Amino acid sequence: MKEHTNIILRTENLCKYYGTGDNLVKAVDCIDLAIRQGEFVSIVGKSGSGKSTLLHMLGALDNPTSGSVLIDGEDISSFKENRLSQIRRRKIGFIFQSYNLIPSLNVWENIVLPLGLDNKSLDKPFIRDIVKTLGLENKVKNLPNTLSGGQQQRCAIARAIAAKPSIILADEPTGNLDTKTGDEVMALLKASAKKYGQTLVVITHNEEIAQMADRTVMIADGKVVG
Amino acid sequence: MKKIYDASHPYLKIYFPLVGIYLLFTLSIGFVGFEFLNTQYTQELRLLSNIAGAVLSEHPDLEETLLDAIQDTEGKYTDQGLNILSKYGYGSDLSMYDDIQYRDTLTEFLSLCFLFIFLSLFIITVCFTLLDRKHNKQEKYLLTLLDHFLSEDYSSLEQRSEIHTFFDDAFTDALLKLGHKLRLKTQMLSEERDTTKTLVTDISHQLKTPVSALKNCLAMSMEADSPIERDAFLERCSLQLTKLEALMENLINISRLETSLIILHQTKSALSDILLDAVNTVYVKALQKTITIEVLNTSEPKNEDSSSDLVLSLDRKWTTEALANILDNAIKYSPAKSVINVRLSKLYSYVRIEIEDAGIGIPKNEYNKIFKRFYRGQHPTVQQYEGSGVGLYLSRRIIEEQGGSITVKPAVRQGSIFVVQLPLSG
Repeated sequence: MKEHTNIILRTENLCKYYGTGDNLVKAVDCIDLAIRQGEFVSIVGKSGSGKSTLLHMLGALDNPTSGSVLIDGEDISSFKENRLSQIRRRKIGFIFQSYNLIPSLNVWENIVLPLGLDNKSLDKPFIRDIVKTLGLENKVKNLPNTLSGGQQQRCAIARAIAAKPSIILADEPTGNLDTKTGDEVMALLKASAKKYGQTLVVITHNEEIAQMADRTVMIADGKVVG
Repeated sequence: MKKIYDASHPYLKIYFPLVGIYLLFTLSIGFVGFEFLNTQYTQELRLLSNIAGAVLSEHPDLEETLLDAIQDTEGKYTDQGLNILSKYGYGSDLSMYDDIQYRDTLTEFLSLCFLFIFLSLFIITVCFTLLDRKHNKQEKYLLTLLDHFLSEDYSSLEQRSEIHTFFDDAFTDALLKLGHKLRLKTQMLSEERDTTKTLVTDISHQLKTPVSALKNCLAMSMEADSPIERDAFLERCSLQLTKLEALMENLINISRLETSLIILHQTKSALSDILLDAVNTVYVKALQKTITIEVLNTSEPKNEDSSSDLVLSLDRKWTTEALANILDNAIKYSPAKSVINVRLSKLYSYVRIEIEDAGIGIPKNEYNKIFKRFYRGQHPTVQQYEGSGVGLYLSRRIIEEQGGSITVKPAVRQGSIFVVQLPLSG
């Protein structure tokens, strides 16, 4: 496989340590990852294995203790906060376990919010297509608290995709959902990422969900174990 | 929350210097004009004082008349004064230019104005030349970059900073996005070529074993000592042939799918029909092991009316094949007289089909592998059964191609549950 040619996301010797001396916790310990464009990678590990810390660093939400994260071949550790937030808005879509929707905005407003923050013009047909793909057509005017968990997560997925990012990072996207809804949300997430040509990195402790990925990375004690 | 001023915006980059130059120019003209007026005022004051001094020193009694003339706004002495002055060449027909003092100041003022106009024109020209030069450079770079993309050279994608020296953030990102997309497409093309290559290798490898077995059997039967022995070998030959036939059929399916010869025709088809077809395909095998297949619709009551006969956009023939493969596996690895449960439920965007068997189950670390081409489980029971490791792979391909998904999880007591999700609207 020509691995080097279209790596969109790479980590080199990535470490994140907390505390010092006897209290030193190696949350992420020298992880080298290379994720290809368009790939669907699941990162699997038990809770406390450092997978969330890893995802946060991949998404420029957290600074590594040492090592680097390269997005599109660029080392983001050298960037100022301004450029980092630009990268987060334009290149990365986030999906969290707890949806993180704004309760006072309706579904449509939640979806287009990041676009407004980036001063981007709305590609309305595109967003309508996403909304349709995710089965939210009849819910666009609803407030998040009137939706079921599955619907809220769909809304979060739509929000992540709307800005046309090249990478989508999902942290336990089905963690708060029952099995059936979770499977459905995962299938939708996978289908949408494929439809819009996006790279998908999903963190989960659920090995059944990890099956849908093209590749699975197992993490234990901050290290890649398989 | 919108940013009003963004210094990197190209128009603003030109606009602000131009506005600056314009303001500077206006202010300078104003300042020079003020200076000019001020000089004139001082000069006139001096002239007036001179005249007043001269007259009053000779005729101190005229002080009141002079004061009256200075404060007078109606100009009652004007005509008289003009008459006297015109004798000395200071007539009303005299223009500003004939006065040396005025002329000097005016020349100074006008030349300064011209200097300012010239200077601003110069600066504006320089600005535009520089911009034009930059624009030309950008154009040239863009053309080279696009040329590189066209000739499938994507090395520039790694040098964002270089592209960024020519273009602003948004444009750079858009260019990079274009490049990445193109690179992905190129990559996919060459991967497809590779897939075909490995497929050919895999197939020839798969065919080798049964063919050589067949060859051996045939050779043995020809050298057999007794007719009974010969018949036994021939029997084995026919067994190998059947195996080979099944393998061939699967391989043909795969190669068609891989090389996109199979085009799935998604038409409106009733899921119940597809399921029935799939069950019918494996019916004989189930009967032989007296395995019962139970199909149950567990959709929530509110959906019952619509889910009784779900119509999906699917390729009927190939979806049947995909489901039949899963059922076939379930039968193969389940004990005799067991039950295979097929549960159907309509979810929001997908139909969920669970196929639960009471078979040997699948170890967790093989979950991902069983859907891979030519993979066969490590379990001794799996090894002992016939199979080419093609069925589940084919199922996955067919289902995913139609926007669905397939996963496996352990059943509560024993065996596995295959979960197939098919999209409700194609």
